Amino acid sequence: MTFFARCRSWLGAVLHPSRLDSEMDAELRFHLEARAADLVRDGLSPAEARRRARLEFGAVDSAKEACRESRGLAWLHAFAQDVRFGLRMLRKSPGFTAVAILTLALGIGADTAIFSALDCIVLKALPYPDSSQLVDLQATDTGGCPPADFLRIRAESRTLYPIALHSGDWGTTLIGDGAPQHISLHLITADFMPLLGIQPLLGRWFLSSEMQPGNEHAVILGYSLWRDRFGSDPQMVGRSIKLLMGRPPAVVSYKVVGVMPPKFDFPQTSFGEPKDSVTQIWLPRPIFPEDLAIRFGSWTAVARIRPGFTLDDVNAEMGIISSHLDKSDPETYKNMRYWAKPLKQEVVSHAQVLLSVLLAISAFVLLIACANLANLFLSRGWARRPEMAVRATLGATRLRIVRQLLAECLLLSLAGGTAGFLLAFSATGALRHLLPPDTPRLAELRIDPLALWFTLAISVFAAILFGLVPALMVSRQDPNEVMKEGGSRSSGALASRAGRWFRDALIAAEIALAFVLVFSAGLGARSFGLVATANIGFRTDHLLTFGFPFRFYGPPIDAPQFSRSLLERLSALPGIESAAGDTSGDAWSSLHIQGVPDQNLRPPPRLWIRSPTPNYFATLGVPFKFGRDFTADDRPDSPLVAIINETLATRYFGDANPVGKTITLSQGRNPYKPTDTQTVQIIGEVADSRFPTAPMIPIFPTVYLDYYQRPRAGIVAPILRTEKDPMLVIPAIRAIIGAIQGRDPIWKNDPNIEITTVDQEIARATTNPRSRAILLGSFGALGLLLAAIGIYGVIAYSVVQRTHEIGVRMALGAQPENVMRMIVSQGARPALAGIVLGLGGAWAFARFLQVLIYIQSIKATDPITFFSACISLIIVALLACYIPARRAMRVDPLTALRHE
Amino acid sequence: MAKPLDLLQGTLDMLILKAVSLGPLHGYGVLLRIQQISKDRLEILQGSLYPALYRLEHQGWIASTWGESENNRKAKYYRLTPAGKRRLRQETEKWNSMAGVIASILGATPEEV
Repeated sequence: MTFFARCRSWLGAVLHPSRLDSEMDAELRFHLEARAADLVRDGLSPAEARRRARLEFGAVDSAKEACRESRGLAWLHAFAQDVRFGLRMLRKSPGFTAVAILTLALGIGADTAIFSALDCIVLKALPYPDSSQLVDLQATDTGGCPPADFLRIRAESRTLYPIALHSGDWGTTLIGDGAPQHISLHLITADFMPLLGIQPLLGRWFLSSEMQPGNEHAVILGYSLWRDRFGSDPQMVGRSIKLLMGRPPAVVSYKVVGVMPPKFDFPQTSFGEPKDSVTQIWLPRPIFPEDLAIRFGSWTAVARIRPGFTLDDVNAEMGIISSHLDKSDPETYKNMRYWAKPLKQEVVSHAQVLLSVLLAISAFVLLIACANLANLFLSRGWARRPEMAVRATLGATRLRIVRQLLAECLLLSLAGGTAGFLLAFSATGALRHLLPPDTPRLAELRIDPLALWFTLAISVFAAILFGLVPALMVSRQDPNEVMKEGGSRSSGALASRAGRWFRDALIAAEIALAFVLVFSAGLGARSFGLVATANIGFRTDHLLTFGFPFRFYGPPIDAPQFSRSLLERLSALPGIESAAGDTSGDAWSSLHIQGVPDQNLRPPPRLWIRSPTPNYFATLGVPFKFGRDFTADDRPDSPLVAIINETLATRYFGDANPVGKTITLSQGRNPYKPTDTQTVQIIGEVADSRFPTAPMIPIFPTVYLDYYQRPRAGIVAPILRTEKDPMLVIPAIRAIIGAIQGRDPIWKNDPNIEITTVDQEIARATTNPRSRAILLGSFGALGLLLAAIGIYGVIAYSVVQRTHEIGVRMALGAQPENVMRMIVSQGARPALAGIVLGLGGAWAFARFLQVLIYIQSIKATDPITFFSACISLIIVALLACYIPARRAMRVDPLTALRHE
Repeated sequence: MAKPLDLLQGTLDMLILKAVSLGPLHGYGVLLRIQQISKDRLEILQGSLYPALYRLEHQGWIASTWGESENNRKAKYYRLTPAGKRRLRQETEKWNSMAGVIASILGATPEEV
């Protein structure tokens, strides 16, 4: 009862402070007037009565203050006063205020942006109902789930329902209604979308009848394709589209049954064309009898845990099903088992480490900014000692002074926080581009109310961090001392040992944090540098390449014949030095060599098979170690020949010349049970090269088989070495492609064949390490700059403070060099301590940075990076001390002594 | 007329509660009533009256409303709440027993000790 009354009175006072004040005024006025009226009745003159009434009452203002205090409002009133006063102080020094707000805005803005990314990408549940129940099924050997195992698990599992299978694809071509368009596609079973729990924008999902072979001609359109290609046609469902499907490709008509909702980007990317885009169409994928033999492939299974079961239950069951599989076919399933992993973990795990590291790094930047501000406040506090002394003498308690100083800090940091939030908000789009393109869920990235709370929290935290210690130190002054000395010379707590110690600690902390930042940036830069300059094994300049889409021609063509005539026409072009081509070989193959032990490894050792044309190595500039190139004499009817790379040769033959030896290649859908075995003779060994993979992918043992000798279905991707600027040849190449396409009206003016230089391809392949290096580099530079400003500020300020002392020293005979050494060592000592601290910090932080490293040749604790970080910080610290020290050196003793 | 007595520490609240228990009063009225009942033997600092009123109101023992004064001016009237009534009873009992104890101590003679 009384509790509620108290709350009501307090709330009323808080919500309507002005009403409270005016009521109080009215009440006191009434009192004074009533008293005066009584006095007039007693015989006084009205003027005298008013005077007496006022006199009897006492100080009206202090009574009001006491009234406010009675209602628990004193602090609020004082707070409002602090805020007003703080605003006035900040307005009085606009330069200081602007610098402080800007620093805070940068620090808080970066923190907010990275926090939002972490929140939206990693912390938030996937955007499906009950998404925590979704799991991904993975076999320990393949990392995926082949169709045969999928059927077995679906039949036996009690803990999972439903289970769906999906697979990426190389993409297809959409034809009719305008230019043909290469689109990305994803293959799914009927349960896939219902399992995720989402609804189509239009139409329906696939029916289980559409999973029967022969009935699969249905398609679901992705939102962006529906919008851009079909103008968001609301009548789209029921219409048909034409796609190139099958091998050899043929035009097949598919009925549109549904349209995806916008922003659906799972699975994130398909491995086909066009590159780096979200899935544009979904097709039903029946499981054909021949699929049951597949062991390694692109199939992945997702499932939902049945209510009442846990992930542990599922994995216990997966163990049992795996042992059933093993019993039924030990040859294939030996030492293999299935694990269910939370789907979210699969989607976000690789972004999680990067974003956590970035959040830590942006927090370091904010901490450095706070250290700078703490120092600024300390300096200002020193200048304001007389003011504080007057306040203390007039009766302000220490708490009151601290509170007033903290209010200023809070104002600053809230202003910085607001600016930072707006900065983060407006930079969301930029952040989407700044994050590596392989980051999942980028479409979901946004700044939401949680980010606002986060900003508020770190703003308040920052204010306490940079304001509390300076406020405590400034308020600890003895007013008598300050008043006596007139506030001109250093003394008291700020110049005392504690003050010096605090400044030194600030410098050390800033340097230590900056060290970690610079180290991270250095590691990112070095990793990217190594990737960019990695020994790629061939000459990348003056090299052009292009590829035909996987499903290229409607009418069946003779691919080798087509490739041969294409390469002949291309090499006849003026300005072309040489031309060749290659296609990728079978994805999963295994190698058997008589008498070599590592044959039955599980899973089989990774082996690359490529099918180049003659002249391929000469065009790329890959040197032969032994033997010869393919020639026109290697024909389909002559003995099969192969060229191997150095990695393979070294592993199996050591340094010996492998030419003349034979190897047996096994190929088939299940590498444990090869169906196609061929023995080939080695005719040459070439140096290792990384064409056409990204520079950070390790070199695998590679077997090159002659494209013309073992004809393949695909058309080669031409590689052209040009004499001059490769861009100049592109129009001529386009003309040749146009002439080929002109024969078939479908292909007229196909805009989709992209001719690029290999240098461009490499730049594209190294986007992820580059964007990581840029992100870390910017944070490192920002941290280093802030730390340098911080040290400079501290030292420069102490020079000003010590001008008098320096003057005395010089008057007594100190040489300018001595003064210089004194000032530099004043900054250098804590800086060195900071570097030692930073070394330890970076060492501890390094294991989280492993994620930034794309290349095997360096570890996160790379000594060169440590060394460079040390050197750069020492230089920056010395420079930041040197500039103010030079000023100290030039102090004129006479002026300095008059400085009093 | 005897010299007015200073108010004992902490007794003002009790006197205010007693004053308004006899009927709603404005601030000046509270002052007058206490002086009238005490026959001007107590001096109350006018400046300290209002903080006390606000404190009692904040604690919920008295409540206030705006009304018309005797000479038709707007004035703030205070009245006792049920909680205030209980409080006044407790305070009165405490005061009486305290006064009794102190009186008996002060009235003690050497024989009684």
